[in-house]
Amino acid sequence: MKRMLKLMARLYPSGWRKRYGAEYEALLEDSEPHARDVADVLWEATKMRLASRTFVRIVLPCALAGALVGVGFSLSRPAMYHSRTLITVDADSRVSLDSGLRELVQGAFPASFLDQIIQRENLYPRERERMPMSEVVSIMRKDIWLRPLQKNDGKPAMAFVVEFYYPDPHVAQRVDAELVSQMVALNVRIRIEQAQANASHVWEVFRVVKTANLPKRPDGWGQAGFGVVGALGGLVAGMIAATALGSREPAVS
Amino acid sequence: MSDPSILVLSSLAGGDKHGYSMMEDIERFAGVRLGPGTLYGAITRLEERGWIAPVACEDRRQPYTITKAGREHLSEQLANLGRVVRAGQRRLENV
Repeated sequence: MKRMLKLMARLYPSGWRKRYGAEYEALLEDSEPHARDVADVLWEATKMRLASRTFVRIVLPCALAGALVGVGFSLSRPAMYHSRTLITVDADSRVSLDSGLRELVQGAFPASFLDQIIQRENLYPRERERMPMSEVVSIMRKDIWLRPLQKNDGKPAMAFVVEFYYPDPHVAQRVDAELVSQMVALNVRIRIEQAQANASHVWEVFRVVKTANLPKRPDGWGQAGFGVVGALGGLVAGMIAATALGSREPAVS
Repeated sequence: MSDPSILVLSSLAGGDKHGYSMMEDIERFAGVRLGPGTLYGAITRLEERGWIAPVACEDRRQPYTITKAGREHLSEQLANLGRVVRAGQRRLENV
Protein backbone atom coordinates (compact mmCIF):
# COMPACT_ATOMS: atom_id res chain seq x y z
CA MET A 1 0.00 0.00 0.00
CA LYS A 2 2.81 2.43 0.91
CA ARG A 3 4.54 1.58 -2.33
CA MET A 4 1.37 2.27 -4.28
CA LEU A 5 0.82 5.62 -2.54
CA LYS A 6 4.42 6.58 -3.27
CA LEU A 7 3.91 5.72 -6.92
CA MET A 8 0.69 7.72 -6.96
CA ALA A 9 2.60 10.78 -5.76
CA ARG A 10 3.90 10.90 -9.34
CA LEU A 11 0.41 11.95 -10.42
CA TYR A 12 0.95 15.33 -8.73
CA PRO A 13 2.31 18.21 -10.85
CA SER A 14 6.11 18.21 -11.05
CA GLY A 15 6.36 21.63 -9.35
CA TRP A 16 4.50 20.25 -6.37
CA ARG A 17 6.66 17.12 -6.27
CA LYS A 18 9.84 19.17 -6.26
CA ARG A 19 8.63 21.23 -3.32
CA TYR A 20 6.79 18.63 -1.22
CA GLY A 21 7.79 15.23 -2.64
CA ALA A 22 10.47 14.32 -0.06
CA GLU A 23 8.46 15.28 3.01
CA TYR A 24 5.35 13.63 1.57
CA GLU A 25 7.31 10.38 1.21
CA ALA A 26 8.56 10.75 4.77
CA LEU A 27 4.94 11.07 5.91
CA LEU A 28 4.00 7.88 4.04
CA GLU A 29 6.93 6.05 5.66
CA ASP A 30 5.86 7.14 9.15
CA SER A 31 2.12 6.62 8.86
CA GLU A 32 0.04 3.47 8.61
CA PRO A 33 -1.77 3.76 5.28
CA HIS A 34 -5.50 3.01 4.94
CA ALA A 35 -7.22 1.69 1.83
CA ARG A 36 -9.17 4.94 1.46
CA ASP A 37 -5.87 6.86 1.21
CA VAL A 38 -5.66 5.70 -2.42
CA ALA A 39 -8.84 7.64 -3.30
CA ASP A 40 -7.69 10.52 -1.10
CA VAL A 41 -4.35 10.87 -2.90
CA LEU A 42 -5.94 10.42 -6.34
CA TRP A 43 -8.51 13.13 -5.60
CA GLU A 44 -5.93 15.62 -4.30
CA ALA A 45 -3.59 14.92 -7.20
CA THR A 46 -6.49 15.57 -9.59
CA LYS A 47 -7.31 18.86 -7.85
CA MET A 48 -3.65 19.95 -8.08
CA ARG A 49 -3.62 19.05 -11.75
CA LEU A 50 -6.80 21.02 -12.36
CA ALA A 51 -5.06 24.08 -10.94
CA SER A 52 -1.91 23.62 -13.00
CA ARG A 53 -1.07 24.69 -16.54
CA THR A 54 -0.50 21.09 -17.64
CA PHE A 55 -4.22 20.55 -17.12
CA VAL A 56 -5.07 22.82 -20.06
CA ARG A 57 -2.20 21.60 -22.23
CA ILE A 58 -2.26 17.85 -21.62
CA VAL A 59 -4.86 16.56 -19.19
CA LEU A 60 -7.92 18.38 -20.56
CA PRO A 61 -7.26 17.36 -24.20
CA CYS A 62 -6.74 13.74 -23.05
CA ALA A 63 -10.03 13.80 -21.12
CA LEU A 64 -11.84 15.23 -24.14
CA ALA A 65 -10.24 12.66 -26.41
CA GLY A 66 -11.28 9.93 -23.94
CA ALA A 67 -14.87 11.23 -23.95
CA LEU A 68 -14.90 11.23 -27.76
CA VAL A 69 -13.50 7.70 -27.88
CA GLY A 70 -16.17 6.61 -25.36
CA VAL A 71 -19.01 8.17 -27.36
CA GLY A 72 -17.53 6.81 -30.61
CA PHE A 73 -17.30 3.35 -29.09
CA SER A 74 -20.94 3.48 -27.98
CA LEU A 75 -22.00 4.66 -31.45
CA SER A 76 -20.06 1.81 -33.06
CA ARG A 77 -22.00 -0.73 -31.01
CA PRO A 78 -25.65 -1.36 -31.78
CA ALA A 79 -28.01 -0.56 -28.92
CA MET A 80 -29.20 -3.84 -27.38
CA TYR A 81 -32.75 -4.45 -26.17
CA HIS A 82 -33.74 -7.33 -24.00
CA SER A 83 -37.15 -8.93 -23.78
CA ARG A 84 -38.00 -10.90 -20.65
CA THR A 85 -40.43 -13.65 -19.67
CA LEU A 86 -41.11 -14.57 -16.05
CA ILE A 87 -41.68 -18.24 -15.29
CA THR A 88 -42.52 -19.84 -11.95
CA VAL A 89 -41.82 -23.44 -10.99
CA ASP A 90 -44.01 -25.53 -8.65
CA ALA A 91 -42.86 -24.87 -5.10
CA ASP A 92 -42.32 -28.50 -4.07
CA SER A 93 -39.19 -28.70 -6.16
CA ARG A 94 -36.60 -31.18 -4.93
CA VAL A 95 -33.94 -30.23 -7.43
CA SER A 96 -31.88 -27.09 -7.53
CA LEU A 97 -33.31 -24.62 -9.99
CA ASP A 98 -29.78 -23.78 -11.11
CA SER A 99 -29.02 -27.30 -12.21
CA GLY A 100 -32.52 -27.63 -13.72
CA LEU A 101 -31.92 -24.52 -15.82
CA ARG A 102 -28.58 -25.76 -17.04
CA GLU A 103 -30.22 -28.99 -18.13
CA LEU A 104 -32.95 -27.04 -19.86
CA VAL A 105 -30.64 -24.81 -21.84
CA GLN A 106 -28.83 -27.84 -23.16
CA GLY A 107 -32.00 -29.78 -23.86
CA ALA A 108 -34.43 -27.10 -25.01
CA PHE A 109 -32.20 -25.11 -27.31
CA PRO A 110 -30.27 -27.53 -29.54
CA ALA A 111 -28.24 -25.97 -32.33
CA SER A 112 -30.78 -27.07 -34.97
CA PHE A 113 -33.59 -25.21 -33.18
CA LEU A 114 -31.57 -22.00 -32.82
CA ASP A 115 -30.43 -22.37 -36.44
CA GLN A 116 -34.10 -22.37 -37.52
CA ILE A 117 -34.88 -19.23 -35.53
CA ILE A 118 -31.81 -17.46 -36.92
CA GLN A 119 -32.88 -18.25 -40.50
CA ARG A 120 -36.54 -17.43 -40.00
CA GLU A 121 -35.97 -14.13 -38.16
CA ASN A 122 -32.90 -13.27 -40.26
CA LEU A 123 -30.86 -12.78 -37.09
CA TYR A 124 -27.16 -11.75 -37.09
CA PRO A 125 -26.97 -10.99 -40.85
CA ARG A 126 -23.41 -9.57 -40.68
CA GLU A 127 -22.10 -12.48 -38.62
CA ARG A 128 -23.67 -15.00 -40.99
CA GLU A 129 -21.81 -13.45 -43.89
CA ARG A 130 -18.40 -14.01 -42.37
CA MET A 131 -18.62 -17.05 -40.09
CA PRO A 132 -20.02 -20.59 -40.08
CA MET A 133 -23.50 -21.17 -38.68
CA SER A 134 -22.16 -23.04 -35.66
CA GLU A 135 -20.37 -19.85 -34.53
CA VAL A 136 -23.47 -17.74 -35.13
CA VAL A 137 -25.43 -20.19 -32.96
CA SER A 138 -22.79 -19.76 -30.24
CA ILE A 139 -23.26 -15.99 -30.44
CA MET A 140 -27.01 -16.44 -30.10
CA ARG A 141 -26.54 -18.66 -27.04
CA LYS A 142 -24.65 -15.78 -25.39
CA ASP A 143 -27.65 -13.50 -26.01
CA ILE A 144 -30.01 -15.93 -24.25
CA TRP A 145 -30.06 -15.53 -20.48
CA LEU A 146 -31.83 -17.74 -17.97
CA ARG A 147 -31.62 -16.24 -14.51
CA PRO A 148 -32.96 -17.86 -11.34
CA LEU A 149 -34.63 -15.24 -9.13
CA GLN A 150 -34.08 -14.64 -5.43
CA LYS A 151 -36.48 -13.62 -2.68
CA ASN A 152 -35.91 -10.43 -0.68
CA ASP A 153 -34.11 -12.45 2.02
CA GLY A 154 -31.62 -13.75 -0.55
CA LYS A 155 -33.02 -17.29 -0.65
CA PRO A 156 -33.75 -18.75 -4.09
CA ALA A 157 -37.30 -18.19 -5.36
CA MET A 158 -38.84 -20.95 -7.44
CA ALA A 159 -38.94 -18.65 -10.43
CA PHE A 160 -36.67 -17.58 -13.24
CA VAL A 161 -36.62 -15.25 -16.20
CA VAL A 162 -35.79 -16.02 -19.80
CA GLU A 163 -34.23 -13.08 -21.62
CA PHE A 164 -33.12 -12.51 -25.15
CA TYR A 165 -30.89 -9.61 -26.21
CA TYR A 166 -31.03 -8.18 -29.70
CA PRO A 167 -30.62 -4.78 -31.42
CA ASP A 168 -34.28 -4.80 -32.59
CA PRO A 169 -36.79 -4.74 -29.69
CA HIS A 170 -39.58 -6.38 -31.71
CA VAL A 171 -37.29 -9.22 -32.76
CA ALA A 172 -36.07 -9.58 -29.16
CA GLN A 173 -39.67 -9.98 -28.03
CA ARG A 174 -40.62 -12.49 -30.75
CA VAL A 175 -37.54 -14.64 -30.21
CA ASP A 176 -37.91 -14.56 -26.43
CA ALA A 177 -41.52 -15.76 -26.77
CA GLU A 178 -40.40 -18.54 -29.10
CA LEU A 179 -37.64 -19.67 -26.74
CA VAL A 180 -40.11 -19.81 -23.87
CA SER A 181 -42.70 -21.80 -25.81
CA GLN A 182 -39.96 -24.27 -26.72
CA MET A 183 -39.00 -24.59 -23.05
CA VAL A 184 -42.57 -25.06 -21.92
CA ALA A 185 -43.19 -27.66 -24.65
CA LEU A 186 -40.09 -29.55 -23.60
CA ASN A 187 -41.19 -29.34 -19.97
CA VAL A 188 -44.58 -30.87 -20.82
CA ARG A 189 -43.03 -33.58 -23.03
CA ILE A 190 -40.54 -34.62 -20.38
CA ARG A 191 -43.23 -34.67 -17.68
CA ILE A 192 -45.37 -36.97 -19.83
CA GLU A 193 -42.41 -39.25 -20.57
CA GLN A 194 -41.40 -39.39 -16.92
CA ALA A 195 -44.95 -40.11 -15.80
CA GLN A 196 -45.34 -42.87 -18.40
CA ALA A 197 -42.07 -44.44 -17.31
CA ASN A 198 -43.09 -44.21 -13.62
CA ALA A 199 -39.93 -42.19 -12.96
CA SER A 200 -39.05 -41.51 -9.32
CA HIS A 201 -38.97 -37.80 -9.99
CA VAL A 202 -41.19 -35.88 -12.38
CA TRP A 203 -40.09 -32.43 -13.48
CA GLU A 204 -41.88 -29.45 -12.00
CA VAL A 205 -44.50 -27.57 -14.01
CA PHE A 206 -43.32 -24.32 -15.57
CA ARG A 207 -45.92 -21.55 -15.52
CA VAL A 208 -45.46 -18.43 -17.61
CA VAL A 209 -46.42 -15.55 -15.32
CA LYS A 210 -45.39 -12.64 -17.54
CA THR A 211 -45.06 -13.13 -21.27
CA ALA A 212 -42.18 -11.67 -23.30
CA ASN A 213 -42.36 -7.87 -23.10
CA LEU A 214 -41.57 -5.34 -25.79
CA PRO A 215 -38.49 -3.51 -24.46
CA LYS A 216 -38.76 0.27 -24.72
CA ARG A 217 -35.23 1.32 -23.83
CA PRO A 218 -31.89 -0.18 -24.83
CA ASP A 219 -29.64 -1.75 -22.20
CA GLY A 220 -26.31 -0.48 -21.02
CA TRP A 221 -24.76 2.88 -20.28
CA GLY A 222 -25.71 4.71 -23.45
CA GLN A 223 -23.58 7.37 -25.11
CA ALA A 224 -23.44 9.61 -22.03
CA GLY A 225 -22.23 6.76 -19.83
CA PHE A 226 -19.50 5.73 -22.26
CA GLY A 227 -18.56 9.40 -22.65
CA VAL A 228 -18.13 9.84 -18.88
CA VAL A 229 -16.11 6.63 -18.53
CA GLY A 230 -13.97 7.67 -21.52
CA ALA A 231 -13.42 11.12 -20.03
CA LEU A 232 -12.37 9.63 -16.69
CA GLY A 233 -10.01 7.22 -18.44
CA GLY A 234 -8.62 10.12 -20.48
CA LEU A 235 -8.19 12.19 -17.32
CA VAL A 236 -6.09 9.51 -15.62
CA ALA A 237 -4.16 8.86 -18.86
CA GLY A 238 -3.56 12.60 -19.22
CA MET A 239 -2.23 12.84 -15.67
CA ILE A 240 0.10 9.91 -16.32
CA ALA A 241 1.18 11.47 -19.63
CA ALA A 242 1.81 14.82 -17.96
CA THR A 243 3.90 13.06 -15.33
CA ALA A 244 5.82 11.05 -17.92
CA LEU A 245 6.53 14.13 -20.01
CA GLY A 246 7.83 15.82 -16.88
CA SER A 247 5.97 19.03 -17.53
CA ARG A 248 7.88 21.93 -16.14
CA GLU A 249 5.47 24.23 -14.49
CA PRO A 250 7.41 26.65 -12.29
CA ALA A 251 5.80 26.10 -8.90
CA VAL A 252 2.69 24.96 -7.20
CA SER A 253 -0.20 26.90 -8.61
CA MET B 1 -15.83 20.37 12.02
CA SER B 2 -13.67 18.74 9.40
CA ASP B 3 -12.21 21.62 7.36
CA PRO B 4 -8.62 20.35 6.87
CA SER B 5 -7.18 23.89 6.81
CA ILE B 6 -8.68 24.79 10.18
CA LEU B 7 -7.57 21.45 11.62
CA VAL B 8 -3.98 21.99 10.43
CA LEU B 9 -3.91 25.57 11.73
CA SER B 10 -5.35 24.44 15.07
CA SER B 11 -2.71 21.75 15.30
CA LEU B 12 0.12 24.19 14.56
CA ALA B 13 -1.31 26.70 17.03
CA GLY B 14 -0.09 24.26 19.68
CA GLY B 15 3.47 24.21 18.35
CA ASP B 16 5.54 23.47 15.24
CA LYS B 17 4.99 20.03 13.72
CA HIS B 18 5.83 17.97 10.66
CA GLY B 19 3.21 16.14 8.57
CA TYR B 20 2.97 12.91 10.55
CA SER B 21 2.85 14.76 13.92
CA MET B 22 0.02 16.92 12.57
CA MET B 23 -1.84 13.83 11.39
CA GLU B 24 -1.57 12.21 14.84
CA ASP B 25 -2.36 15.42 16.72
CA ILE B 26 -5.49 16.10 14.63
CA GLU B 27 -6.71 12.54 15.12
CA ARG B 28 -6.21 12.98 18.88
CA PHE B 29 -7.95 16.33 19.37
CA ALA B 30 -10.59 16.20 16.58
CA GLY B 31 -11.14 12.46 16.07
CA VAL B 32 -10.54 12.96 12.35
CA ARG B 33 -7.84 11.14 10.39
CA LEU B 34 -6.68 13.25 7.47
CA GLY B 35 -5.42 11.16 4.56
CA PRO B 36 -1.96 12.03 3.21
CA GLY B 37 -3.47 13.68 0.12
CA THR B 38 -5.86 15.85 2.12
CA LEU B 39 -3.18 16.80 4.65
CA TYR B 40 -0.67 17.89 2.03
CA GLY B 41 -3.40 19.59 0.00
CA ALA B 42 -4.16 21.70 3.08
CA ILE B 43 -0.46 22.34 3.81
CA THR B 44 0.05 23.46 0.19
CA ARG B 45 -2.88 25.89 0.27
CA LEU B 46 -1.98 27.26 3.71
CA GLU B 47 1.62 27.89 2.70
CA GLU B 48 0.53 29.61 -0.51
CA ARG B 49 -1.68 31.95 1.51
CA GLY B 50 1.12 32.67 3.97
CA TRP B 51 -0.75 31.21 6.93
CA ILE B 52 1.93 28.62 7.67
CA ALA B 53 5.66 28.53 6.88
CA PRO B 54 8.30 25.81 6.79
CA VAL B 55 10.81 25.82 9.62
CA ALA B 56 14.49 25.49 8.63
CA CYS B 57 15.39 21.83 9.05
CA GLU B 58 17.83 19.27 7.64
CA ASP B 59 15.48 16.32 8.05
CA ARG B 60 13.12 15.16 5.31
CA ARG B 61 10.35 15.51 7.90
CA GLN B 62 9.72 19.18 7.28
CA PRO B 63 8.18 20.98 10.27
CA TYR B 64 5.80 23.91 9.80
CA THR B 65 4.91 26.85 11.97
CA ILE B 66 1.80 29.00 12.01
CA THR B 67 2.44 32.61 10.94
CA LYS B 68 0.96 35.77 12.45
CA ALA B 69 -1.51 35.98 9.52
CA GLY B 70 -2.37 32.33 10.09
CA ARG B 71 -3.12 32.95 13.78
CA GLU B 72 -5.37 35.86 12.86
CA HIS B 73 -7.19 33.78 10.27
CA LEU B 74 -7.63 30.86 12.68
CA SER B 75 -8.86 33.19 15.40
CA GLU B 76 -11.40 34.72 13.03
CA GLN B 77 -12.61 31.30 11.81
CA LEU B 78 -12.93 29.93 15.35
CA ALA B 79 -14.87 33.03 16.42
CA ASN B 80 -17.29 32.50 13.52
CA LEU B 81 -17.59 28.85 14.40
CA GLY B 82 -18.14 29.73 18.06
CA ARG B 83 -21.03 32.01 17.11
CA VAL B 84 -22.63 29.19 15.09
CA VAL B 85 -22.13 26.72 17.95
CA ARG B 86 -23.65 29.08 20.52
CA ALA B 87 -26.62 29.93 18.29
CA GLY B 88 -27.24 26.23 17.59
CA GLN B 89 -27.07 25.34 21.30
CA ARG B 90 -29.45 28.18 22.25
CA ARG B 91 -31.97 27.03 19.65
CA LEU B 92 -31.72 23.43 20.75
CA GLU B 93 -32.37 24.45 24.36
CA ASN B 94 -35.43 26.47 23.33
CA VAL B 95 -37.09 23.59 21.48
